[in-house]
Amino acid sequence: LAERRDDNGALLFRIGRIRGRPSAEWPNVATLTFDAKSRARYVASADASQEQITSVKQGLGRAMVHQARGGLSLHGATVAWKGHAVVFVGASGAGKSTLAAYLCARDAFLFVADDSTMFARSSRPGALEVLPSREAHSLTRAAARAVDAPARTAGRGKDKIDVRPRRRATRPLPLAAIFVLRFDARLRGPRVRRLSGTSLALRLMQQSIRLVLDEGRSLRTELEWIERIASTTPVYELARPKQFGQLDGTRALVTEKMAARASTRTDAFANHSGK
Amino acid sequence: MRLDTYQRSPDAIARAFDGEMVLLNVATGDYFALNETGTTVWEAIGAPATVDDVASRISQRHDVDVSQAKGDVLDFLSELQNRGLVCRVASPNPLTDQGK
Repeated sequence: LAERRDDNGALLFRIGRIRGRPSAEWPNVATLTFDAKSRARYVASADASQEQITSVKQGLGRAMVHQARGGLSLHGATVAWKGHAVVFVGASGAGKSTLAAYLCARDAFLFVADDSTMFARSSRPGALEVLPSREAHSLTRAAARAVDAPARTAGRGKDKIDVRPRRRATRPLPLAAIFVLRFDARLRGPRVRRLSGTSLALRLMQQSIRLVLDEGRSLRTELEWIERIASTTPVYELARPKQFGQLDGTRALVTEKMAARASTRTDAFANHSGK
Repeated sequence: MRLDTYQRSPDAIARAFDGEMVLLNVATGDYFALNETGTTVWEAIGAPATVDDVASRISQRHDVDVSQAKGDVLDFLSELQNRGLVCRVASPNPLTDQGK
């Protein structure tokens, strides 16, 4: 039904159906499908490494299963700030992982997810939360150097390396904000603006991770998720020049935005445990 | 005189975001954003409507000439039709179809 290729045209994965059930295939790594009891099943390729299989199962595969079961998954990296999830979404190459790694290598931020962010309903009525993943930051070597984390790296492929986060969130976190990242060569520094209306909806839908493409019910559910986010969560566009030197200014801007929100919207940052 | 009517496709679902509309084709997964005028068109085809019906509504609400609106409405409905979001129902024209 659909496939994704890298910049060189190599097939990364494709999704469709096997025996009528939603399925995804990562060539030479693994195939994901569901059994008769709707349990996710991975079949590893003979020449796949355990590292490759784990990466699929803990990242994109898990996000796809989440979508197939009625949840929302977006291409995005997530960090925790003061117990709340701050999500960075954007197109491939928009700097999501690099920014998340930079923040996590510094004060007050914890790692939540790198490439696939899964959203769930909170037990608190109307509230949303983000599920922690067991991923690592996946960075280019240049990005790993820029975030000052090469000492904790492990090789995974020729293009990207895994950077293990220093500290990670281990429980679902309430969703505080989403930043849609993009680079803009015309800017001298990072700029942020609040999104609304269809520009908000489309930016998020463009980053949706789908395993099930051909069921109206699933797509309706996705739209309902986006509606829920739009009505509960500030979504910002964060544009900046494509330079590692902009990372600290971007960190300052994100922190400032979150601090401002925490001071004006105490309900979003209150301790809701026990409810 | 065109008597074709346009109506929303059963594959289309719409959601409003701050007064702006997003359409999703649940058969293909494609989505499409409407501006304020496009939203007026979408509202106008809640029940089957001709291009004239829709253009008249646009004229009233957005202060444009009906004859000018007709061409734009037809183009827009054709685009929505191509995206599977709108169905066109051809109606026989009793004046032009007589004797065919």
